Amino acid sequence: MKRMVVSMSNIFYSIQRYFVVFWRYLRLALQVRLAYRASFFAEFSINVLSAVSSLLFIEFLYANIPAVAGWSHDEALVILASYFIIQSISWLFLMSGMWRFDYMLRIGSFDRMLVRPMHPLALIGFSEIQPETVVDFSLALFLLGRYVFLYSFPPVWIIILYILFLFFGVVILLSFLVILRTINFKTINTWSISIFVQDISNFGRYPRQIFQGKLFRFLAATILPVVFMGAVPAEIFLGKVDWWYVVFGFLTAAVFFLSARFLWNRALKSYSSASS
Amino acid sequence: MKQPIIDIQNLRKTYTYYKKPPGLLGSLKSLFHREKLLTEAVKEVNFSIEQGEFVGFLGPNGAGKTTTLKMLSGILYPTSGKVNVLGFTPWDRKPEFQKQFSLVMGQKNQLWWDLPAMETFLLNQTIYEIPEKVFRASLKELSELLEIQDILTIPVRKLSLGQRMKCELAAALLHQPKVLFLDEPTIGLDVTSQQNIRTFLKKYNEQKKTTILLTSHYMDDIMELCKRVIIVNLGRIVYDGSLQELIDKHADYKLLKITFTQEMKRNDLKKYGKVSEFAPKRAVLHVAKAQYKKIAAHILEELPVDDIFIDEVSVEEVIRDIFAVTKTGTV
Repeated sequence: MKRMVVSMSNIFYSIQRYFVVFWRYLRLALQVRLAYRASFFAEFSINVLSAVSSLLFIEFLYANIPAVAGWSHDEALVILASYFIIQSISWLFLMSGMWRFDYMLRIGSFDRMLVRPMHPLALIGFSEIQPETVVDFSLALFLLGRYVFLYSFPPVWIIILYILFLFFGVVILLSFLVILRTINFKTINTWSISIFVQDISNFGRYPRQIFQGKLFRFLAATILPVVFMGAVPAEIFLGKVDWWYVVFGFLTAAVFFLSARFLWNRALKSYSSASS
Repeated sequence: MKQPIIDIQNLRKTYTYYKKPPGLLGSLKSLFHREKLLTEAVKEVNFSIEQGEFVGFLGPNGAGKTTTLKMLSGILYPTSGKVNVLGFTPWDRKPEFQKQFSLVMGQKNQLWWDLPAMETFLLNQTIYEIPEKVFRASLKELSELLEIQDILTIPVRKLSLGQRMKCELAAALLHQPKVLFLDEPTIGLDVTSQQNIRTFLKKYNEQKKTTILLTSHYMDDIMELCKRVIIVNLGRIVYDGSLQELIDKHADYKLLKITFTQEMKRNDLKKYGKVSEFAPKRAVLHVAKAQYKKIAAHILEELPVDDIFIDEVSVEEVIRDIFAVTKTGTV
């Protein structure tokens, strides 16, 4: 019992420590952005535009048809919001750094991340923080707020389950990315992995019912688990909880996380670093 | 018995790589069929280093220096062998170990390009969890020793290469490492900046008793800083000992640099010793240490000498000789 208390306090200490370091990196990223004023405004505007275009797509779609796979316009916006939250958190912590991972391997700046007293993945993610992801996140909160305002506030247990599944969504997406990115240790120069992950995760913004046929339904919940990157959390938020998917989401998150950890550690052992 | 700070036993590292025929066509072919090759970057390396030692690690390009350094700092896993640094196995990458050493690579920088060096220092303070008091003291000490007080608030991209290297060193030493690996810290610097870095390293090693392992292609660095050198070539250690002994042992000759009043023929000089350089009015001879006085006297007597100068063999030449000999496999 005492040992458990000690290990729990260690975990909390680590989490706190990583947040402190993250905060320091975030401030550096902001300072770099502000050093180039024009670039700051450009990045910000582009992020707003791309978020708005995702929103417009749904608006145009629902101007033509009343429902897609049983989802109304307002419900579809909740999927988009959940998708945005999962994406923006993933981008903030790891994805933008991973976007340049092959470059880090090629020029050898990854070496530095292996000698510092922190997890190399955290250092990869923190070194390329894009503060602009706050745009998607704010839009997502606005969309959720809109739904609650128009309909009703979900019960507390739903909120808790929803947050938990947003977290699972982030875990699944990032594990998926890390698993594919370990290929880079062998191939070094394969930038398209990040694009592939982005393309696949794009499916996260649609209802899971759009997948036709047993094979694709199965794929979308297992090997390419896109349903957990938007649709399933949204169902929970809307109170349409499918317990089968809740159990499955928990298992998928665990399996993906453990495989990512295993494959990453194994890949590090064969890492041969850039030349001398 | 006291445990050495760094202890390496039978360290080996083999890289796998693939042979690619030249050209675009070759690249296309190698997509489908490629030849697997193994290189032994480090074949068998054994040495140990005591606390406070300043050791030079020498070898030609591709000798295995950097690969060894990378295994010592836990970046690479070895193929086989044991390494103990500060009581840890480096590639376990324990944070307690990582907080006690530092790696500076002259060709790679850790400073944030667009921001003043101070920002990187503060970042390192959080990453290495340096208490505020220690950080302040360390920063004050390092910036005085390196004379960088005035440039800490200038964006790194506006600094000269020499100033940047000083800041790199400060960033690497803020957490007061017990072991420091330096991979070519003076590469590309002008003579004055090189001298400044050397002076600093010397003082730092004396004051802090930090164990330092240094690789450099500049013999001045090695001569001024390192009492002991370890020379590797083709993945093996070919010499481990003091620099002076190395010179005494391998340089069994002296150089006679002669200027003549009239033009000479090469053949006239051959009987006195090995002619290493020759121009009609100038020559450099290699003469055995035991006889150089006698031979110099003979030359003065028998040839139209304008000037004669007796010189020691330079360290560069000794090292070059050792590399040349070890390439053929016999030491």
